[in-house]
Amino acid sequence: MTEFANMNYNRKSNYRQVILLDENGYIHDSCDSLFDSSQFTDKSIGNYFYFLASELPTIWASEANKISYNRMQTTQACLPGFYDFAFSKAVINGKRHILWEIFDYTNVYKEYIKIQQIKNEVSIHEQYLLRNKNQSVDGKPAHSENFFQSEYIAKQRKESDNLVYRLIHKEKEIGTAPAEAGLIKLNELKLHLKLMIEEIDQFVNQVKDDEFTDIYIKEVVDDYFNKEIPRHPDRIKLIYSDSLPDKVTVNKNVLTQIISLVCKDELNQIDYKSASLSLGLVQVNNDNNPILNIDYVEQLSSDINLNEDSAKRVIKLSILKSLVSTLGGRLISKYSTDNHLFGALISLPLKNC
Amino acid sequence: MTSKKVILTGSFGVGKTSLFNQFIHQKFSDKYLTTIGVKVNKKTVESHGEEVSLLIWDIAGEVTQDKVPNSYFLGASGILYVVDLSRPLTFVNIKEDIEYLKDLLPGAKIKVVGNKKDLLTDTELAQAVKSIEIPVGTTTSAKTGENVEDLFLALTNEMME
Repeated sequence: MTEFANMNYNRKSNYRQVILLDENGYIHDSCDSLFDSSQFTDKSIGNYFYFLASELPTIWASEANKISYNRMQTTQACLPGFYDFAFSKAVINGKRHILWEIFDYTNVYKEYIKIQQIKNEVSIHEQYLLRNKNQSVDGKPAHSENFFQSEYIAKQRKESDNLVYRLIHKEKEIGTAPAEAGLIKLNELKLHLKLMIEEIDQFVNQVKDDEFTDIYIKEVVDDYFNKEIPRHPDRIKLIYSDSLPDKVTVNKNVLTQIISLVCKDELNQIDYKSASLSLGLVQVNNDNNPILNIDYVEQLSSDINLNEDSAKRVIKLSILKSLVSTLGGRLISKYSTDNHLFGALISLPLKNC
Repeated sequence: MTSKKVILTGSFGVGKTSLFNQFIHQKFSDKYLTTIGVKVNKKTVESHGEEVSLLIWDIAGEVTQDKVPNSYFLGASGILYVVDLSRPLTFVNIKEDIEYLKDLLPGAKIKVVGNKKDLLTDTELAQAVKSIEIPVGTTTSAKTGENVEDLFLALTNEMME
């Protein structure tokens, strides 16, 4: 067993790799969860990763023991995506080392970038509206025809049944509305997107903490709902399957964040009919890794216009899907305009319970 | 070989990535695709007869610079603060932003870059430059490539002085 493994960083993960670098930037050890590091051992790592060429001297020179760089986009063949990096200084056997943690959030940030793209385009259009407010002719802003012209949006247009597109298209119509009304609507949308981005950031950081603890799951979930909906305790029916043990080893923050992302908006809805959240545990035979199933179903009133209202929820579910996928799980969304049904089935692998 | 870290920063949609792509790959796309976080690439240039490796960080745009994570700026020798000459709101915070960057990186060379000059007439360009509170070092067009190479070379020379 290497020194590195002794540091409890040898556990394989589907989204995290830890590399130990010596003082000269050579790889000393790696768990190789994301890529095979053996191809980069003959030279200092800075020769292979542009980013590190400039940062290693800076990290050594810094007074901080840990430095983080989030949302790094790399094109390196072994790391082709979006990652969060953290560098910690460590002394092992009297020698200085750097622990390089790589968190693969490619799936998550691919969703993030879509929201950021819309938010930025909304902001740019808002700026044009503001500028043209006093210069408009017949109340029509001059730049509305340029609204949402990006490649991403154009792609969405081709997907006629895409709810994200419907949301955007709805807001696009604002471009022809009087400037004042358009500004208010755009500001609302921008704030909504900003909150969504903050939720992603929060979730990503909680996942990174990687703190798995034994919890009494029913108590944790009950507590969460008591805090979130104290005035409406019956709005969501909680169902605990017989398969769910009292104690489960789980990242508590991640669990409550998932439940929050899937249920919270709906909790604030006034007009919905009923909803249920079921939790159960499934044992998988091949690696004895239990899977937590979280099944959320919401039956909405027939007078709610799902096409307009649900677009934002669907965006959120697509983010959650990428987050769950990063954690090695799966999310199947449930959506039916005919039956006014909305929900998600999430399967999340856990540590042994 | 000497290495220098250069940061492209400024508000969103001002053309930082387009300047980055034009300088590194001599390519330009009309489509706006937002950047999240950071993209890093390098290019070797010559300054005063010496080869210099520029490690260029293309940072996601923020309305004000204090929202950019400090770690991105660590160890930077040069900063290109980019504004969109056709969107005045991209330079409304320029004075505070430049002060902030000077405090954060006292030794770094900072250049203000007015991009998208191709969208403006000569008169509009002169008006836009005049209205910016901090002197604009260079006006560029990432689309046509005008002044892009010169911008990076001038910054390199300043960093190597």
